[in-house]
Amino acid sequence: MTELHAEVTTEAPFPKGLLVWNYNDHEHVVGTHYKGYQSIEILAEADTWCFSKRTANLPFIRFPTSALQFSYYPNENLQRSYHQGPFGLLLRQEFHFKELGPNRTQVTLHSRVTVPRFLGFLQPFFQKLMYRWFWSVWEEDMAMRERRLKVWQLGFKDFVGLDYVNNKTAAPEKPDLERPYPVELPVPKITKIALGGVSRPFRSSEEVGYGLPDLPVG
Amino acid sequence: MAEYIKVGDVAELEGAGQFSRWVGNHDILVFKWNGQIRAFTNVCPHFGGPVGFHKMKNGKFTCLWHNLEFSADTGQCLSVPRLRLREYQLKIEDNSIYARLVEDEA
Repeated sequence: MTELHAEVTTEAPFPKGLLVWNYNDHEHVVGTHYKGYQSIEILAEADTWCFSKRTANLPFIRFPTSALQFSYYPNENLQRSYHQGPFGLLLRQEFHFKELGPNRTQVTLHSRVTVPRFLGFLQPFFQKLMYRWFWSVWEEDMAMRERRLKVWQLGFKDFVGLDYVNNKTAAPEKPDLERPYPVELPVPKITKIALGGVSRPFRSSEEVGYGLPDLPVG
Repeated sequence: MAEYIKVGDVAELEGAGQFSRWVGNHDILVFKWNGQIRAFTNVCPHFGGPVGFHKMKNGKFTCLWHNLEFSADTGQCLSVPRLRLREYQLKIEDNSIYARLVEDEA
Protein backbone atom coordinates (compact mmCIF):
# COMPACT_ATOMS: atom_id res chain seq x y z
CA MET A 1 0.00 0.00 0.00
CA THR A 2 1.04 3.59 -0.49
CA GLU A 3 -0.31 6.97 0.56
CA LEU A 4 -1.39 9.82 -1.70
CA HIS A 5 -1.05 13.20 -0.01
CA ALA A 6 -2.11 16.75 -0.87
CA GLU A 7 -1.60 19.98 1.06
CA VAL A 8 -3.12 23.43 0.60
CA THR A 9 -2.48 26.47 2.80
CA THR A 10 -4.04 29.91 2.68
CA GLU A 11 -4.99 32.86 4.87
CA ALA A 12 -8.41 34.40 5.33
CA PRO A 13 -9.43 37.81 6.71
CA PHE A 14 -11.83 36.35 9.27
CA PRO A 15 -11.88 35.41 12.95
CA LYS A 16 -11.17 31.76 13.68
CA GLY A 17 -14.66 31.32 15.16
CA LEU A 18 -16.24 32.27 11.86
CA LEU A 19 -14.15 29.77 9.92
CA VAL A 20 -14.95 27.04 12.42
CA TRP A 21 -18.65 27.95 12.08
CA ASN A 22 -18.34 27.71 8.31
CA TYR A 23 -16.66 24.30 8.35
CA ASN A 24 -19.13 22.95 10.89
CA ASP A 25 -22.26 24.31 9.25
CA HIS A 26 -22.63 21.01 7.40
CA GLU A 27 -26.06 21.88 6.02
CA HIS A 28 -24.76 24.73 3.88
CA VAL A 29 -23.09 22.35 1.43
CA VAL A 30 -26.39 21.83 -0.44
CA GLY A 31 -27.07 25.56 -0.37
CA THR A 32 -23.93 27.62 -0.85
CA HIS A 33 -22.29 24.76 -2.78
CA TYR A 34 -25.46 23.69 -4.56
CA LYS A 35 -23.62 23.20 -7.85
CA GLY A 36 -21.41 20.54 -6.32
CA TYR A 37 -23.58 18.87 -3.69
CA GLN A 38 -26.99 17.27 -4.09
CA SER A 39 -27.89 16.20 -0.58
CA ILE A 40 -26.68 15.89 2.98
CA GLU A 41 -28.03 13.89 5.85
CA ILE A 42 -26.78 14.40 9.39
CA LEU A 43 -26.91 10.90 10.83
CA ALA A 44 -25.64 11.73 14.31
CA GLU A 45 -24.01 14.67 16.00
CA ALA A 46 -22.67 15.93 19.31
CA ASP A 47 -20.84 19.09 20.38
CA THR A 48 -17.55 18.37 18.66
CA TRP A 49 -18.36 15.71 16.06
CA CYS A 50 -20.74 15.06 13.21
CA PHE A 51 -21.51 11.92 11.19
CA SER A 52 -23.15 12.63 7.84
CA LYS A 53 -23.90 11.22 4.42
CA ARG A 54 -23.44 13.51 1.44
CA THR A 55 -23.81 13.17 -2.31
CA ALA A 56 -21.53 15.34 -4.42
CA ASN A 57 -20.27 15.94 -7.93
CA LEU A 58 -16.47 15.88 -7.66
CA PRO A 59 -14.15 17.57 -10.15
CA PHE A 60 -13.03 15.27 -13.01
CA ILE A 61 -15.63 12.64 -12.07
CA ARG A 62 -18.72 12.58 -14.26
CA PHE A 63 -21.20 10.93 -11.90
CA PRO A 64 -22.39 11.90 -8.40
CA THR A 65 -20.71 10.04 -5.56
CA SER A 66 -22.03 9.42 -2.07
CA ALA A 67 -19.75 9.35 0.94
CA LEU A 68 -20.12 8.88 4.65
CA GLN A 69 -18.24 11.57 6.55
CA PHE A 70 -17.18 11.71 10.15
CA SER A 71 -15.74 15.01 11.40
CA TYR A 72 -14.52 15.89 14.84
CA TYR A 73 -12.63 18.60 16.68
CA PRO A 74 -9.80 17.37 18.92
CA ASN A 75 -9.30 21.04 19.81
CA GLU A 76 -10.26 24.51 18.56
CA ASN A 77 -7.41 24.58 16.07
CA LEU A 78 -7.91 21.24 14.37
CA GLN A 79 -10.70 19.47 12.55
CA ARG A 80 -10.30 15.88 11.36
CA SER A 81 -12.63 14.44 8.73
CA TYR A 82 -12.92 10.91 7.37
CA HIS A 83 -14.78 10.29 4.13
CA GLN A 84 -15.73 6.74 3.20
CA GLY A 85 -16.26 6.90 -0.54
CA PRO A 86 -16.56 4.60 -3.54
CA PHE A 87 -14.38 1.48 -3.91
CA GLY A 88 -13.84 1.37 -0.14
CA LEU A 89 -11.42 4.30 -0.27
CA LEU A 90 -11.02 6.28 2.94
CA LEU A 91 -10.08 9.94 2.54
CA ARG A 92 -8.56 11.42 5.69
CA GLN A 93 -8.41 15.20 6.02
CA GLU A 94 -7.03 17.56 8.63
CA PHE A 95 -7.93 21.24 8.74
CA HIS A 96 -5.51 23.27 10.84
CA PHE A 97 -6.61 26.73 11.99
CA LYS A 98 -3.97 29.18 13.16
CA GLU A 99 -5.09 32.54 14.51
CA LEU A 100 -2.86 35.25 13.05
CA GLY A 101 -4.86 38.15 14.53
CA PRO A 102 -8.40 39.07 15.59
CA ASN A 103 -9.58 38.98 11.98
CA ARG A 104 -6.98 36.83 10.28
CA THR A 105 -6.68 33.05 10.28
CA GLN A 106 -4.46 30.62 8.42
CA VAL A 107 -6.07 27.43 7.17
CA THR A 108 -4.03 24.39 6.13
CA LEU A 109 -5.65 21.31 4.69
CA HIS A 110 -3.90 17.95 4.53
CA SER A 111 -5.66 15.23 2.54
CA ARG A 112 -4.51 11.62 2.53
CA VAL A 113 -5.74 8.41 1.01
CA THR A 114 -4.15 4.96 1.18
CA VAL A 115 -4.20 3.01 -2.08
CA PRO A 116 -2.55 -0.16 -3.47
CA ARG A 117 1.08 0.50 -4.35
CA PHE A 118 0.50 0.15 -8.10
CA LEU A 119 -1.82 3.21 -7.92
CA GLY A 120 0.97 5.42 -6.60
CA PHE A 121 1.26 7.01 -10.02
CA LEU A 122 -2.04 8.81 -9.22
CA GLN A 123 -0.25 11.18 -6.79
CA PRO A 124 -0.17 14.16 -9.22
CA PHE A 125 -3.83 13.60 -10.09
CA PHE A 126 -4.76 13.41 -6.40
CA GLN A 127 -2.93 16.66 -5.64
CA LYS A 128 -4.69 18.34 -8.57
CA LEU A 129 -8.09 16.96 -7.55
CA MET A 130 -7.76 18.10 -3.94
CA TYR A 131 -6.36 21.45 -4.97
CA ARG A 132 -9.20 22.14 -7.39
CA TRP A 133 -11.83 20.94 -4.91
CA PHE A 134 -10.39 23.13 -2.12
CA TRP A 135 -10.34 26.28 -4.20
CA SER A 136 -13.77 25.83 -5.78
CA VAL A 137 -15.31 25.38 -2.32
CA TRP A 138 -13.16 28.20 -0.89
CA GLU A 139 -14.34 30.74 -3.46
CA GLU A 140 -18.00 30.03 -2.75
CA ASP A 141 -17.38 30.14 0.97
CA MET A 142 -15.56 33.47 0.79
CA ALA A 143 -18.70 35.35 -0.23
CA MET A 144 -20.60 33.57 2.52
CA ARG A 145 -17.99 34.41 5.16
CA GLU A 146 -17.80 38.06 4.10
CA ARG A 147 -21.55 38.43 4.37
CA ARG A 148 -21.70 36.51 7.64
CA LEU A 149 -19.06 38.81 9.16
CA LYS A 150 -20.90 41.88 7.90
CA VAL A 151 -24.25 40.91 9.43
CA TRP A 152 -22.48 39.65 12.57
CA GLN A 153 -20.88 43.06 13.10
CA LEU A 154 -24.32 44.64 12.62
CA GLY A 155 -25.61 42.56 15.53
CA PHE A 156 -27.08 39.52 13.77
CA LYS A 157 -28.57 36.77 15.97
CA ASP A 158 -29.09 33.25 14.63
CA PHE A 159 -32.76 32.34 14.07
CA VAL A 160 -33.72 35.97 14.82
CA GLY A 161 -31.98 38.24 12.33
CA LEU A 162 -31.15 41.89 12.89
CA ASP A 163 -33.19 43.42 15.72
CA TYR A 164 -33.32 46.87 14.15
CA VAL A 165 -34.69 45.39 10.92
CA ASN A 166 -37.32 43.29 12.66
CA ASN A 167 -38.31 46.06 15.07
CA LYS A 168 -38.21 48.77 12.37
CA THR A 169 -36.01 50.95 14.53
CA ALA A 170 -32.88 52.90 13.64
CA ALA A 171 -29.88 50.90 12.47
CA PRO A 172 -26.51 51.29 14.19
CA GLU A 173 -24.53 54.04 12.51
CA LYS A 174 -21.43 51.86 12.38
CA PRO A 175 -20.90 48.12 12.57
CA ASP A 176 -19.27 46.79 15.73
CA LEU A 177 -15.94 45.70 14.28
CA GLU A 178 -14.82 44.41 17.68
CA ARG A 179 -17.78 42.08 18.28
CA PRO A 180 -16.17 38.80 19.41
CA TYR A 181 -16.87 35.72 17.31
CA PRO A 182 -16.63 32.77 19.68
CA VAL A 183 -16.14 29.15 18.65
CA GLU A 184 -19.52 27.57 19.42
CA LEU A 185 -20.30 23.98 18.51
CA PRO A 186 -22.39 22.36 17.31
CA VAL A 187 -23.81 24.80 14.78
CA PRO A 188 -27.63 24.81 15.23
CA LYS A 189 -29.53 22.82 12.60
CA ILE A 190 -32.77 23.54 10.82
CA THR A 191 -35.83 21.40 11.43
CA LYS A 192 -35.62 19.18 8.39
CA ILE A 193 -32.39 17.54 9.52
CA ALA A 194 -34.33 15.63 12.14
CA LEU A 195 -36.53 14.27 9.37
CA GLY A 196 -33.71 12.69 7.39
CA GLY A 197 -31.56 15.38 5.82
CA VAL A 198 -31.87 18.07 3.20
CA SER A 199 -31.64 17.95 -0.55
CA ARG A 200 -31.37 20.71 -3.09
CA PRO A 201 -35.01 21.78 -3.65
CA PHE A 202 -34.57 22.82 -7.30
CA ARG A 203 -33.11 21.38 -10.48
CA SER A 204 -31.64 24.60 -11.82
CA SER A 205 -31.19 28.18 -10.72
CA GLU A 206 -31.19 31.52 -12.42
CA GLU A 207 -28.75 33.39 -10.20
CA VAL A 208 -29.48 37.02 -9.39
CA GLY A 209 -26.48 37.16 -7.08
CA TYR A 210 -25.45 38.70 -3.77
CA GLY A 211 -26.71 42.16 -4.73
CA LEU A 212 -26.22 45.30 -6.75
CA PRO A 213 -23.49 47.82 -5.94
CA ASP A 214 -24.23 50.62 -3.50
CA LEU A 215 -25.98 53.68 -4.86
CA PRO A 216 -23.79 56.74 -5.30
CA VAL A 217 -23.82 59.03 -2.26
CA GLY A 218 -25.70 62.32 -2.59
CA MET B 1 -36.17 59.72 10.83
CA ALA B 2 -39.26 58.05 9.31
CA GLU B 3 -38.08 59.05 5.89
CA TYR B 4 -37.90 57.10 2.69
CA ILE B 5 -34.47 56.21 1.31
CA LYS B 6 -33.80 55.44 -2.32
CA VAL B 7 -33.05 51.76 -2.93
CA GLY B 8 -32.96 51.71 -6.72
CA ASP B 9 -34.78 52.33 -9.96
CA VAL B 10 -37.77 50.55 -11.42
CA ALA B 11 -35.63 49.75 -14.47
CA GLU B 12 -33.44 47.53 -12.29
CA LEU B 13 -36.36 45.13 -11.99
CA GLU B 14 -36.22 44.37 -15.69
CA GLY B 15 -34.88 40.94 -16.46
CA ALA B 16 -34.97 38.97 -13.22
CA GLY B 17 -37.89 40.91 -11.75
CA GLN B 18 -35.94 41.42 -8.53
CA PHE B 19 -32.76 42.93 -7.15
CA SER B 20 -31.15 43.48 -3.79
CA ARG B 21 -28.92 46.23 -2.44
CA TRP B 22 -27.45 47.42 0.84
CA VAL B 23 -28.80 50.82 1.91
CA GLY B 24 -28.11 52.31 5.33
CA ASN B 25 -27.12 48.96 6.88
CA HIS B 26 -30.26 47.33 5.48
CA ASP B 27 -30.01 44.69 2.75
CA ILE B 28 -33.26 45.11 0.84
CA LEU B 29 -34.77 42.67 -1.65
CA VAL B 30 -37.01 44.52 -4.13
CA PHE B 31 -39.22 42.43 -6.39
CA LYS B 32 -42.21 42.57 -8.65
CA TRP B 33 -44.91 40.01 -7.90
CA ASN B 34 -48.50 39.90 -9.15
CA GLY B 35 -48.05 43.33 -10.71
CA GLN B 36 -46.89 44.98 -7.48
CA ILE B 37 -43.45 46.20 -6.48
CA ARG B 38 -42.63 45.13 -2.94
CA ALA B 39 -39.60 44.72 -0.70
CA PHE B 40 -38.49 42.31 2.02
CA THR B 41 -35.32 42.19 4.02
CA ASN B 42 -32.76 40.20 2.04
CA VAL B 43 -31.16 38.96 5.28
CA CYS B 44 -32.32 35.45 6.06
CA PRO B 45 -33.18 35.34 9.78
CA HIS B 46 -31.64 31.86 10.01
CA PHE B 47 -27.93 32.66 9.56
CA GLY B 48 -27.97 35.86 7.49
CA GLY B 49 -27.83 34.45 3.96
CA PRO B 50 -29.08 36.24 0.84
CA VAL B 51 -32.77 35.43 0.35
CA GLY B 52 -32.83 36.86 -3.17
CA PHE B 53 -29.71 35.19 -4.56
CA HIS B 54 -31.77 32.87 -6.77
CA LYS B 55 -34.53 34.21 -8.96
CA MET B 56 -37.91 33.70 -7.31
CA LYS B 57 -39.81 30.64 -8.57
CA ASN B 58 -43.49 29.85 -8.15
CA GLY B 59 -43.93 32.62 -5.62
CA LYS B 60 -41.10 31.41 -3.42
CA PHE B 61 -37.65 32.75 -2.61
CA THR B 62 -34.99 30.18 -1.72
CA CYS B 63 -32.10 31.43 0.41
CA LEU B 64 -28.74 30.50 -1.09
CA TRP B 65 -27.02 29.26 2.03
CA HIS B 66 -29.44 26.64 3.40
CA ASN B 67 -32.34 26.57 0.95
CA LEU B 68 -34.86 28.01 3.39
CA GLU B 69 -37.94 28.95 1.38
CA PHE B 70 -40.01 32.09 1.88
CA SER B 71 -43.42 33.05 0.49
CA ALA B 72 -43.31 36.06 -1.82
CA ASP B 73 -46.86 36.85 -0.72
CA THR B 74 -46.22 37.14 3.00
CA GLY B 75 -42.49 36.75 3.71
CA GLN B 76 -43.37 33.74 5.84
CA CYS B 77 -40.67 31.07 5.98
CA LEU B 78 -42.07 27.83 4.62
CA SER B 79 -39.18 25.74 6.00
CA VAL B 80 -38.97 26.99 9.59
CA PRO B 81 -42.39 28.36 10.58
CA ARG B 82 -41.16 30.70 13.31
CA LEU B 83 -39.13 32.75 10.82
CA ARG B 84 -40.52 35.57 8.70
CA LEU B 85 -39.05 38.33 6.54
CA ARG B 86 -39.79 41.94 7.41
CA GLU B 87 -41.55 43.84 4.64
CA TYR B 88 -40.57 47.43 3.90
CA GLN B 89 -43.04 50.14 2.96
CA LEU B 90 -42.23 51.48 -0.48
CA LYS B 91 -42.87 54.68 -2.38
CA ILE B 92 -42.28 55.03 -6.11
CA GLU B 93 -41.60 58.42 -7.61
CA ASP B 94 -40.20 59.26 -11.05
CA ASN B 95 -39.24 55.62 -11.62
CA SER B 96 -37.20 55.55 -8.41
CA ILE B 97 -37.99 53.18 -5.56
CA TYR B 98 -37.79 54.42 -1.97
CA ALA B 99 -38.07 52.30 1.17
CA ARG B 100 -39.02 53.35 4.68
CA LEU B 101 -36.32 51.86 6.86
CA VAL B 102 -37.47 53.12 10.24
CA GLU B 103 -41.10 53.03 11.34
CA ASP B 104 -40.77 52.89 15.10
CA GLU B 105 -39.10 56.01 16.48
CA ALA B 106 -38.61 54.48 19.94
